[in-house]
Amino acid sequence: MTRETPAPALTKEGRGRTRERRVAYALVAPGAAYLVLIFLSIVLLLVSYSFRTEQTSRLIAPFDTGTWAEALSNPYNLAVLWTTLRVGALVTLLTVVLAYPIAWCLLRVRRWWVAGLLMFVIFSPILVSVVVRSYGWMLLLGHGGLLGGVLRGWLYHEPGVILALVHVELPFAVFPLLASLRNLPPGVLEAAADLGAPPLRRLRTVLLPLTASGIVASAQLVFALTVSAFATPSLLGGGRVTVLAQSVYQNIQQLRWPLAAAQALLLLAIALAVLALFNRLSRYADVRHRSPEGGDSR
Amino acid sequence: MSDRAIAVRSLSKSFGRKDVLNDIELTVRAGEFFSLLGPSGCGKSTALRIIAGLERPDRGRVLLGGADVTGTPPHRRPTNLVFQQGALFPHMTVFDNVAYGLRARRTGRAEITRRVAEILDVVGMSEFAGRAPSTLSGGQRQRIAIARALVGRPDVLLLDEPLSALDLGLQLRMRRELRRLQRQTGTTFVCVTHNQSEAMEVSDRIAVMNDGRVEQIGTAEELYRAPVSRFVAGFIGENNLFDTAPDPGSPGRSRADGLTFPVPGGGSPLVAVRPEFIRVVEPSDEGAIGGAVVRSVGFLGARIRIVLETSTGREVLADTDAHSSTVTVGAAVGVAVDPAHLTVVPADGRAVRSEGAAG
Amino acid sequence: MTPAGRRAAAALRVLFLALVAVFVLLPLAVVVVSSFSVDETGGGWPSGFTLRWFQRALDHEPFRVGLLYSLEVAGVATVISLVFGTMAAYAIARHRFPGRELLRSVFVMPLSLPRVVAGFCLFVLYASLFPAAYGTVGGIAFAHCLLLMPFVVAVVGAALAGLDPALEEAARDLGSSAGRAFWHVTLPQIRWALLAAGIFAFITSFDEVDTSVFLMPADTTTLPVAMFLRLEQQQDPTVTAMSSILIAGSLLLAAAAAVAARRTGGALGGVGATAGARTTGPEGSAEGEPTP
Repeated sequence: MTRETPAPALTKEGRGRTRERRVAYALVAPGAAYLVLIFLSIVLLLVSYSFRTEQTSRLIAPFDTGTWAEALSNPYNLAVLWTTLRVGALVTLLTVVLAYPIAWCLLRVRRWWVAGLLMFVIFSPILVSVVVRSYGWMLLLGHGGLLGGVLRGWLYHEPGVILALVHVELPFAVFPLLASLRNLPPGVLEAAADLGAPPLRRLRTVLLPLTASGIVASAQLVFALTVSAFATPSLLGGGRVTVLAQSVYQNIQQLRWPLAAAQALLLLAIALAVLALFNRLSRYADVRHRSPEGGDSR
Repeated sequence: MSDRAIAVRSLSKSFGRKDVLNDIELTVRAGEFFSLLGPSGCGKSTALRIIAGLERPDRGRVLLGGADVTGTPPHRRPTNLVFQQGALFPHMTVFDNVAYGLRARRTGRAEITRRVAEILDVVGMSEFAGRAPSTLSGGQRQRIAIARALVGRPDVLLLDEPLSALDLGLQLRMRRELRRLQRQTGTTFVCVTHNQSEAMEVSDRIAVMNDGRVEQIGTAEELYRAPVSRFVAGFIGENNLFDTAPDPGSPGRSRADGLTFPVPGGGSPLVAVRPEFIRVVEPSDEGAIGGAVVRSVGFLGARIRIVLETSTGREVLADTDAHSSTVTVGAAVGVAVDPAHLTVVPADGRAVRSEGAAG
Repeated sequence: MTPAGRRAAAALRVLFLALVAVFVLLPLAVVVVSSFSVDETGGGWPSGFTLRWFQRALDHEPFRVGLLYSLEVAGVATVISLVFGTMAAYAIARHRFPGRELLRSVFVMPLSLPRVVAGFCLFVLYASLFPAAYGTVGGIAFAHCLLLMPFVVAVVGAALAGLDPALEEAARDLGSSAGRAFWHVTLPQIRWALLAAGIFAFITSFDEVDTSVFLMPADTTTLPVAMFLRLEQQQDPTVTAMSSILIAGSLLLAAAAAVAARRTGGALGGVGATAGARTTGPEGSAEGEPTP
């Protein structure tokens, strides 16, 4: 067939498998090579840049931990880090608390076209540029805007940033909750009611535990997206609210690449830590509720 | 084409650590209806897929009409496969499905129209040519799948559990249909099935497979009358199997479960007796090989199924003529066996390597 | 619950969802309304209507250049990630080979990578090794593939997983080579998934800011970056008009994608699936009918 592989003792041994593997590897190779290149450059370039202090685009520079010291001890940089985490946590909390009843109600809409329309309304903003959506909030909260009077002082301050971020991340929070609520075993809520549990007790003892994995997934997604958000905090923060993503960008503008590299790595570390933390949480949630997943049914 | 349509030589295949096929030897004659019969997971489908070229063996060779095709991809083999669920292309009409193979082989347009019409007529589906597969019933889909595989006039038609997705009545009709198609086209059929009555009804010869090995190859009658292994004796039809031990008192006899069997040569063979060859007699009958108690009596139509229990608590099945039997539940009876219908199963039944042994 | 109570609960749910719809649509609506307003500062009810801002937006050089730039980048990035993403999804769905599970996670990993980090990293990569790639269509499209590829692999992979592998085997058995079997049998069946993935990929790339902003000089940028940079300086009715055009375009494509999604049984689901690929799987369709 194709090239003969040297397999002296067993001429036919595994030949078919080798060929199949070759085809498979050829198919994944371009995409995988591309991703590996990016991952490698992240590790090598970012780490290399974060351990130098002088601004240079050369690959090799003297090793220096000064940048890291600055990133982790300078009060301004610490404030940026703290703002990032605080905004992330608040947005996550608000978004999930808002998304849960939305998902619950969406599944109870009877008429299919109403449900379809509502789904479209809630999910289609994903496709509208974040810049446009953030700008909409700038107009609303601005001087003379529809909400500018009621929510005076929100624009260019943290509440405005949080409000716009909740709006941007909402669809991402609804989706895992919808999936999780759909998977609810039929009849459990009726059974709880039949056994005499009032609504709040049903929510606490049946609904929330059974959808815990969906809540965790939803929170994980929103937190990860929020801590790395760039355009929305830049526009609605107006320079007064600075998160890590903006700081990376600003440091590049000001030719402080090493500090930008250190902060980019910090951001990456937060993202990965959140991923690991929530994966652990979801495993805990799954112990209480193993949703029946078929796997591949071939 | 040579007389041997398919020859499979020392074929082995494993998925990961699991050995699915272990040194398989098969020879299928041109023009015969050959079945691979075995429980699920015995490797029969994998063997069929290797013959079709959809899987590659780890070791061994496949010869079609004398030519080694082990490394040949499926589209260059003179075989066609009927898939378990039909695998009709959902985005094509019945006509386009059937014409697919002809088009792939760049047959002329007029020729395609003629041959598709012809084969649809053979399977009785002419009026469905313009339909979408999703509008067909299970039996109709399977007919189209067979037509699609037959239209290219393959040397060998391979069928992977072709009837298993159909309901029982349809299965029985389609069995006769398959046999008719095979006779009418003169094509070699190799059919994989786990249904022994299906295999026995339609096949010229059957290979019984178990755990990645071929246990026995032979006609349905040979498998039934002369099983060469414990597995075949237990798998084909119903059987009473006894692991005997030599009777110390009388040479030439072996005992098991309170029964004494006349075994030429003695020793501790595996003895098999079909239920229809076990007679229920008076306890004092001199032909009795032991005693038992009647546990239940069931009416099966032409026959009566009697479940006996020997002194050791072993169940023995006996079938008798419905019109002559007068046993009652709880009665103590004698068990009698005609020595001519007592089968001694070889101890190592797996060593059926030579084709001549059974076929 | 009494019938009256049930009706009241249903009414409350509808009211709640209506409020949510207002919350979701309000920022978009205010942009659209303001873009037709004669007032220089938008956000309130306009004192008169005009199409002036649209005229001005389309005449604005950075926006005109940026629009073309964005379309080129999105086109190139979509085609590249569709081709290589589909190849990878196919290999992962249909072939058994060592490292398959590892690759499956490698292809969703970029989802956990903050876009700003990706942008900065590629910026440094270009600056240090390929200075020619900075600020070019190819360089930015190359970066966008990082965001689009996981999405394509997830959506196309889900479509392939729902397909009976026996179909392609049947085609090969009937005389088609592996390539032709894919072309004739598999491709027609995943075409809606490809279309949906393509539309979402295109929009994602077209709208991209967080990564792109690192990769081009401030004077020639893609459209959303141009709008972003301008908004950082000042609010401006021309941006409003441009935003309206983008909203219209996005919603049109979203509707098209929703239709495609219906055909595949949930590609909008695919959006969530991609976004949430590392946690929940693609379960059900976001566009489907609600379960009673």
